[in-house]
Amino acid sequence: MPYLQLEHLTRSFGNSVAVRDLSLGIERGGLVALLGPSGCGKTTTLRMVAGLEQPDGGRILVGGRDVTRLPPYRRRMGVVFQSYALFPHLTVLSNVAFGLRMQDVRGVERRRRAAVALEMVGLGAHAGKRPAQLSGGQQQRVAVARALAIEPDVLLLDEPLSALDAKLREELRIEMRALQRRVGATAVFVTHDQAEALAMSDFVAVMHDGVIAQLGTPEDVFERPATPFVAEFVGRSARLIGTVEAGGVRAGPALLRAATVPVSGRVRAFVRPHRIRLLDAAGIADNMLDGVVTAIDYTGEVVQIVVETELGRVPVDIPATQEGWRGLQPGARVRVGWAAADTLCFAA
Amino acid sequence: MKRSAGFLLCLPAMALLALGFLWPFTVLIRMSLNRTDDGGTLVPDLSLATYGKLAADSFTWSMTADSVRLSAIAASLALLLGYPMALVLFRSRSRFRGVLAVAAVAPLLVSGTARVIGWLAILGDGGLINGAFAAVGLPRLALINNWTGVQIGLTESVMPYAVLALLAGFGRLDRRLEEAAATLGARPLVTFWTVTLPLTLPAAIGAWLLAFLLGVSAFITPKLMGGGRVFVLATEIYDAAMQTLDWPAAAALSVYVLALLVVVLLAQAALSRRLA
Repeated sequence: MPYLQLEHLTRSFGNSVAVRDLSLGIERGGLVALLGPSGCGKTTTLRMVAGLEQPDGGRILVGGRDVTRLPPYRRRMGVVFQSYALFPHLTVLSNVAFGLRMQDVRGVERRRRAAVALEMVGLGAHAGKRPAQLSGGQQQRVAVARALAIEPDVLLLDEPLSALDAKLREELRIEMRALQRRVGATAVFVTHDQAEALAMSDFVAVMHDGVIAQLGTPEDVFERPATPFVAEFVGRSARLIGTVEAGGVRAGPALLRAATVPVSGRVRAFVRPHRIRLLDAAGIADNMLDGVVTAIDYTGEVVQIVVETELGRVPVDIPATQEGWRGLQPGARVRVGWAAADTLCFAA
Repeated sequence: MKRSAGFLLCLPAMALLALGFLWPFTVLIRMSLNRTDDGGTLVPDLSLATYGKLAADSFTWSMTADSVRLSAIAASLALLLGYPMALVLFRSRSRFRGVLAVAAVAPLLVSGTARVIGWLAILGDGGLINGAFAAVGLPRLALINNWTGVQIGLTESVMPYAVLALLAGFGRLDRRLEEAAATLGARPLVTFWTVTLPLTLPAAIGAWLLAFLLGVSAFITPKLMGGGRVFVLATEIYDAAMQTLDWPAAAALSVYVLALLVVVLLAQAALSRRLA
């Protein structure tokens, strides 16, 4: 049985339903990301788990115990907020010790445990400073230490990295995941950043309009999206529209081949850029399209090429280590191709 | 913006200040250095004789104590009553928030004199309260024309300012901080003592100070609600200037009150620095 279990959670604000009949189970020590655009209900879900928001319906179980009606101060959940929410009038150490003070842990023991938590995030040397004297990344580390110091059963992370710059984000992401594994907390991680969600979690719940559109491993969600929304929200794609016909999907003059297609009717098809290749003169693939290069963006690891075809814009990602893109100029005529298995089709 | 441009933009306000404050203040100081002879005639002079006379008069000191006590109690009561109201207003996301905020400061829209007359109707011998008391056979309370009346009126008149100052100073208070405290195990009352109150303390001190300063300089309320039996610094200045026509005394007393307020302000600045 999952350690943290959400059953049929529902929450409305006025006339708008923020979370609709949401159920989700997380195994002990697991980390699930709630991924979705703003307004999809992911933060409301997290706040309900924390006890900061009361659900209109449904239950929240921790280790089989119903905590739905418990106030936040009785839930023992560590929460890390996007805005850090450090107490500006307390020192870093007092911030980390705050939860222990609430548990009536006495002087020396309290300071020792707070110092240990602070050491865990590598900020032992900053114990006496005020939060405002630290950088954003350091402040968020303090917030993580503060949440972990109470040895919570459940760790809730509300967009903890989105106020930080890219490099720091990646660094802290790896650190936070390692810490969560080390203390063995069951964690929920809310984010709108798909790269973060895929990299950090055991499972990703993609949310849309208050419901979970897909729950799966990061690979499931990325390679086998369950709905057009998931395909569009997670990662980039070539987006094609056509009609089912014998042998594939008819899109303009082209017949697209796919592993599976709906029985009939209009189809929306998606192809991931890293599955698309530039074909040389002798190259052949299940699906082939001719087009003109309109952009070549070198990003370091991959080269992102945009090819304008008669079916629309097709993005192609080529590892920078491959030579195929060298010498390519905007305006060049190219042929792109991909395997039938890489065409993801949804009934439109 | 260049510094000179910023300076230019400050000029109109500075000109107004010079005209409306610095110049009269200079005249005031000059006047306080004159003196009156025993017959009450103004004698041009350049001495501290008037100050000496004031300092030697025990009435000056008892009046100072009364003024300070009256204003300190009014400021404290206004803070005590206004703080919860300001907190609720600050947090409210209700669509009545605007209405409530206006209601909180509505007394400012009515002239001080009109408000005092309103109080007379409520606190007077035949007023609302004593009328109700008489109806149920309770003894009459002396709520007007004495210190009690002035205390009530003054508290009411400074409270809107205290609420406004609190609202303006609550900027540091972030709901997330209180939520964070709750998730760390703090009950609502504990959250208030450990997070809300420390964070709003500078605003509370500022609000108290503003209310206190306004209380000390308040003139209409003690004059009209004291029934001629309440003597504070502000009413004494008025009497000296307008009734006994002892202008040097009125001027010296004004300078003295100003010095008093500056001392209080400096004390507050020192306190804020220690808290920050």
